[in-house]
Formats: sequence, C-alpha cells, structure tokens
Amino acid sequence: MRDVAIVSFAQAPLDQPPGQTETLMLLPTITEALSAVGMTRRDVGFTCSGSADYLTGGTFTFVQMLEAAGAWPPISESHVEMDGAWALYEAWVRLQHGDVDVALVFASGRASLGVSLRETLTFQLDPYYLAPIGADYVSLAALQGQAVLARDARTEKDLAEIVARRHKDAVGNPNAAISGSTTVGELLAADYVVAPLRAHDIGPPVDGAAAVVLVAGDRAREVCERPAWITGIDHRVDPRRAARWSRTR
Amino acid sequence: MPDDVQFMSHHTAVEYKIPEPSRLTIHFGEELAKGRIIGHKCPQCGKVYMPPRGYCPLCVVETTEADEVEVANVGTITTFSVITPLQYQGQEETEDYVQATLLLDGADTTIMVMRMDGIAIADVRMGMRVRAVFPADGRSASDSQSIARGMGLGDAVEHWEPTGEPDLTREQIAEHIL
Repeated sequence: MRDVAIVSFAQAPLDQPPGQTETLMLLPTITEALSAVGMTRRDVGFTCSGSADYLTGGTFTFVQMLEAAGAWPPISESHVEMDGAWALYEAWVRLQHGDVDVALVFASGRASLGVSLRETLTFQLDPYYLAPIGADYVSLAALQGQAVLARDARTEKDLAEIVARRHKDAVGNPNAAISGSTTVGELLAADYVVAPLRAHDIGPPVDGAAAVVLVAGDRAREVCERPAWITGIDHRVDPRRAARWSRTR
Repeated sequence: MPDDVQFMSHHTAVEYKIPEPSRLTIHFGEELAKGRIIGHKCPQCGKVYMPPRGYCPLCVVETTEADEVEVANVGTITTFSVITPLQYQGQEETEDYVQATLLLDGADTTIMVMRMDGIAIADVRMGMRVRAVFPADGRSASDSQSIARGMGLGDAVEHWEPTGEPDLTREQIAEHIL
C-alpha cells in the first residue's frame, strides 16, 4: 500500500454574497488548497468531487462545478453522488495505483435550497420500505443514538456535554455556523426533534464548499512539513433492508 | 407481461426554494432590461463570456465588473431547430417556431434556445446575420429579474430581424455550432 497524506485543506467562507453559485464558492477554495502547497491545477493527477444533486434539486448540477476544477485540457476526474468524504476515499484508492502522486478532492452543497432537508434526504433512501414511512435522516440517527446510548450505558447528558464542548471550541472560528457558551442545563431543556436528539445535536443545513489535496509517498514530505498521513480508511454501504443495519458497530 | 405483475403508484413531491440570483446575474438582467448586453472578458485569455459567469472556465480565474464589456445586439445564427409543438395536455404552443443558437458579435460563447420571433421559418439558415430588437420603452426592473434567470437573453428581446448582411460561411462558424 502506498502511504497517502492530506497536505492541504481549504474551506469556503461561511459568509458568501447572496445567490453565490457553488462553482464560485469552489473556484477560490480549490486555488487556496493547491497554492498552500505550492501547486496549481496542472500538478493534479486525479480529481474527485462529491456532491448530492438532491440538495439543490438540479440534475447534473455537479457538472458545472467541474469548471472550478479547470477541466481544459481534459482531466482525469470522477464524481461521487454523496459527499467529500467518499470522494476522498475514491481519491485515496486511485492513488494506490501508483501512476499519479497528487489528487484533488473537493465537495460542495447548498442545503439551504431545500424547503425541508429531512424530506429531501428521505428520497435517497429505499423507496419501498423506508421513504413511505418517512424514515428521514434525523429519525434514523435517533434510532442509532438510542442504540449507542444503551450499548454504552450513556445518557442524554453525555450528548449535551459533547455539544457544549463543541460550541465552545467553535468560538473564534469564522466558518462555524454555531458557536458560543451553552450550558448542559440549557441544552437539555430544549425540546426533542426526535428523541433522544435535539436541534443542537443535528447539524444545521448550510451552504459550503471545501477542498483537500492528497499526495502519495515522499512527494508529500516535499510539499508539506507535517503531512497528515492516512493510516486507515474504509468505506461501507448499509444493506438495503434497514432491519439488517447494525446501529452500534 | 405476465398477469401476476402488479404496478404500484409512487407519487412523490420534493420542494425547493428558487435560488436567488447572484449579484452578477441581477446586474446582467438590469442591463438587458435597458437593451444593453454585457459580458465578462477574461483578463488572461481575452475570451468574452455572455452571459457573464463571474469566472473563465478555461483559465479558472474569477472575473469582475472590471472585466465587463459590451456585446453587440447583432450576431450570427450558428445552428437552429424548427420545433413542432406536440399537442400534449397543457401544451400552449400550436405553431411551429425556431429555436436558434446565436453567436453575438463580441462574444466567444453562444446563447442557445433563442426563439427567433420575427423571422420567417423558411428564411432561417446557419450563418444568417440577425439583430435583436428590444422593446422601445424598455422593460421594468421586476422583469429584469426574470430575464436574468432565463437562458441567454431570456425574454428581453422583443423580436429578431435579418440585418441583410451576407451570411457567414460554415468554416467561419464551425467552432460555435454545438
């Protein structure tokens, strides 16, 4: 296996001009990630992006975003209909082939355009058994939350403590959608969205873009003083029947 | 189909907000409402994009109001289709009409699905030189928003007319036919 490292990361600022397109959120973000390690788009051997057309409701919207990557002359690229994490996994796999050393990974999404993110994401689930019962992503996460709390003998207070720490850590990060000082008591007093989850346990729908540069082998050390080496990575798909999902593994 | 195959109806609806147009798109619409067609000229390669996108996809650089140029209201039909409307339920069109791809003078990008009202279908041809005629009293500011959202020039143009100039040759328009 080739050693692969993350050498650079960039994120589009949360504060964008009104109506900003994903392509224009991505363009400077990709440039920033590459420039940070002295690279341009010409240095990239493989490009992989992740996005979900369901978020904006536009078919093939991801094709336009490719213009932010610079696709002329033609480039070797791929896209996953999901998110940047999966795109990063594919780029890691591609780098294992040994013929290219540098991969660009990027992702974007405008979740704010859906009227109800819970409804929209339900369409990505099995249309026969899950979508008709309204098994949306929050409900499924709540089932998982209950299972994990039971398995580990933890309580909602433990969940709230995690949130309080995250809110505090986020203070001073201009790209954090939520930050500040909250107490466990305040958090537990909030209503459930779906028990045991409250609104603050669920990420808010935001618009954003991010880019990561992966470099394999010694080249990573050449471009970056402290490469973040990926020592383990995996990707799994749930079985189609929800009853067979393990929620605690 | 075997008799025991059952069909299930699956009606779904997903709602989305119409995205608000970007400042650049709004500006493009406002200028169009005044009968002025603007584009952005890439500071690196010099190509002119109309409508302006805010970047050059070839050089991958952003373009701004500093790169704004005016594009002529005359241009060339590079290709076209004669649309015969199918009379499906809800169809409002009854007569044949032409949708053309146009390369306006000064632009390096074409605009597509432009309805060529004002020119007889039999006269439309590849390489034909045409001029956009805007409404004499302009369009309202609210119209400019819908114009901005449209394809190419949206509904801004009232009709088109032949300029009478000689047609461009196939070779001259070869790179803009798609």
